[in-house]
Amino acid sequence: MTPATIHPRLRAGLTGFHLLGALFPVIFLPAAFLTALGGGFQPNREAYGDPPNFNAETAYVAIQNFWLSLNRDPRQQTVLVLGLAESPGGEILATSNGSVLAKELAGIGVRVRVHDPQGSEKARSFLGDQVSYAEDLWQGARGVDAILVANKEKAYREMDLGKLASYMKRKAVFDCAGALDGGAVAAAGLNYLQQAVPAWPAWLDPELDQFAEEMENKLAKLPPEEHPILLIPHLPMNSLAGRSRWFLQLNYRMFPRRFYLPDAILASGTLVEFADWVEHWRENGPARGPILGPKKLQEAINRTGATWTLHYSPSTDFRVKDWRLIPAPKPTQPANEQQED
Amino acid sequence: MVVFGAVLLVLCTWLLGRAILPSREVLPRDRWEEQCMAYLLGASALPLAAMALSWLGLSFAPWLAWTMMLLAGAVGLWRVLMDRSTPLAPSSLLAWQKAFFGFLGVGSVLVTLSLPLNEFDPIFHYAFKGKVLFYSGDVLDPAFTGMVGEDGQAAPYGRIMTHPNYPLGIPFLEAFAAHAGFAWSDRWVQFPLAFWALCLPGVIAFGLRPFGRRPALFGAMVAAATPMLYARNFLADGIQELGQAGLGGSVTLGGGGDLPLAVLFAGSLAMLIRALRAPCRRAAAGAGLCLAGALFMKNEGLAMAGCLVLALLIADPLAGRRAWLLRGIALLTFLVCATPWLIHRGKLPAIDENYGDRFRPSVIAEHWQAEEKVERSTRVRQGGSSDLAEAPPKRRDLALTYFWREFTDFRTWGLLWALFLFSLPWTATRFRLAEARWLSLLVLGGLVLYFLILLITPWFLVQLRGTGIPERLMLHLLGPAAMAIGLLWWEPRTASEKPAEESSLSDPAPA
Repeated sequence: MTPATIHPRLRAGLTGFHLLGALFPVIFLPAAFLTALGGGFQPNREAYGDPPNFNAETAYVAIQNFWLSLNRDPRQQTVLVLGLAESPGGEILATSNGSVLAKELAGIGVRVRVHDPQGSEKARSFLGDQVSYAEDLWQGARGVDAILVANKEKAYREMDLGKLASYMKRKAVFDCAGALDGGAVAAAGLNYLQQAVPAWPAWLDPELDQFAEEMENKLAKLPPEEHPILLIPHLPMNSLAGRSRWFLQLNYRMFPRRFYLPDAILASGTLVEFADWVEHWRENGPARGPILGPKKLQEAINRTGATWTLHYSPSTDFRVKDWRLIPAPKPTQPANEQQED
Repeated sequence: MVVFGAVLLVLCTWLLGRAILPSREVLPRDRWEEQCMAYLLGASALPLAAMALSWLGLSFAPWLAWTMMLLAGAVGLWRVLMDRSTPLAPSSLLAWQKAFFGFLGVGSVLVTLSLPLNEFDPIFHYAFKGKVLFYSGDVLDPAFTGMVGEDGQAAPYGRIMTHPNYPLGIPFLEAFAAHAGFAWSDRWVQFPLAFWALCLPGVIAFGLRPFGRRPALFGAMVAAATPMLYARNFLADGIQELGQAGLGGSVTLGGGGDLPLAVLFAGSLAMLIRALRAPCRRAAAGAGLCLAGALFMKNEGLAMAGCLVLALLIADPLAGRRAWLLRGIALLTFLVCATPWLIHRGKLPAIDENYGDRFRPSVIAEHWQAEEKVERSTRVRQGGSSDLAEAPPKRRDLALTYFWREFTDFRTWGLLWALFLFSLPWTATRFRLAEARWLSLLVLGGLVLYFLILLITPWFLVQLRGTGIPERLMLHLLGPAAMAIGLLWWEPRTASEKPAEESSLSDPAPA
């Protein structure tokens, strides 16, 4: 092969291989179209795959990623897995999410303890000595780096979180079942890591749909420009996740309805700025309740001219019960014009 | 009604582009190339004109949108009628090549429109601004400015908007579509945004036409075959992803800003090449218009414009007076078209970092040695005290790793970057070709620039990686990379291409 002939051959070979890359769009485009068709050309929540609560594989990856992001060696971690049955009181199975997670985590060298209110005898038959067995929840929790809640067993939902925090070495709580109240977990000084977030994007949340519609109906006869809404988050804010920025969703959906938010420039910024915003209020707000006290609220009403206030408890999951639209107090002076016009 | 309005808008946009495109005699092209280039010129001109009029104080009201659309349509129609007697160059595409481009192009349009807006950036960074323009018509509506007080400081209680100073090209196109259909529709406002991937191969073929049939064809095919034009990391998690295709956050198509920037930038380069080769002042102005259009889609357009100017200065400084005149016309047009937006942008609150201020040798040198800013990570902050904080990786190493992973990621890029490396003007013959030099330098410069941006970004790089950085930035360079690769097939006149294959084209002499 002479130098003169290398060039065209290499060129043709590389280009040929590159054109093989077209197989990806050739597969992707029909697949995407058919996926849309399957959902009636609307984004179908079910097509996002994972069940809304818990998938062992997804949680396994998320937990690993969490440790990786902290440069922690999983083999140095001790984890207590709570719940080996698929559902509270159900049969303990090798295929339950808790059992699968325990086995997979043990497989990568994590020191795993397991607990189930029904005892551990059956679990020994399939988990063997890969894990250790805690007959008592508190015995199991002593000195662990993380707790992983795998089902909604009553004993777990009602456990004493303050006591739990005092027993744990590190404070990570992976709630894979949506069993715990994130606010209460955070208030106990634990790091609440919600793994039960629905797989679909925030804007497809059915409760968000429901709430936005209810608000539209309630405000239907009120001109948007004359009835601004002041958003008032409540503490504790248990998540730094971007998904808890539900104000973005409502602001988009309900435009030209006008929403105001304390320190909106920070809250609307990047995820990092949003985290700064949450931490600012955690440090400067009250321990619980609305971030604005009566005096600040009145000041906000005066500045924005808001006629409604929308109180909410931030969470990664939109729950209608966390939101409340109520008329704002009357302004004590005209709205600050620089804010609006 | 909404659909018909959106179709009418696309038609008017294309007609406007036809009116701007120089005549077929000056710039020969086939029908495919003409449609693609015309659409990009129209899609640049219409929102830029709307911005200029808004800057002059007009409200973007329905009457203005309709007047602009109808005027654009009328001027274009007149031009189409005038051009009836001037033939187009015959298409040199074989049937399978037409099927290849047709399948990918039409498929990309259908996929874009098959779902309403369903991604974070398209909804919150762009469509929300489109809604504001549609409902209020005011580029200084409090929805844009109401998060800061008159002193420019954060208002204690402000309006909500992500990145209020992001360019308004996409929002204006969406607002045009909404005005045309008399209602806002999350699906149909995307109609004018559905044609980017369809147009890219056509404009690359248009730009490379002076170099012969094969460079034009292969440049276009390389671009069309690059997976990143449609989606990234597709099937990364296995075949089960097929059922979720188009639903994840990895789709390039739709209402985001990176694809239009990439395609308009490619259009600008195609026009510039043709302007310099023809030579044609009107085409040079078209190149400047497209470049301003790219800037009006996403801020990085300004960085790309800077890279282009530098590449031309360094790679081809001895071009003749005529070439410099044409480049000057392109630059002047760019500045004139971009000025209203750039001035207006200064009045908008900024919630992102100003990279211009950080782009200093001292800051770069400092970050070259710096460790990753783990304290900016929300994950670290959620996890409390962090081992990562004790031994953070070097920012430089992370950025280099991410770029290397992209260069070698076949699922996202095919062999684009290997081909580009191969296409660098290593030989004396290719080095003498000015376009090969400056296109290669432009891509290399763009990559270096984006690397430096990752180096100095104030945010946690690991988190940025999860949002598609740096591949979304590298996408901006797909057009020039594909053109440089296409030029691999360029051969001087002595090459053995048959005249019949060349149709009406002639191989250029090296510049």
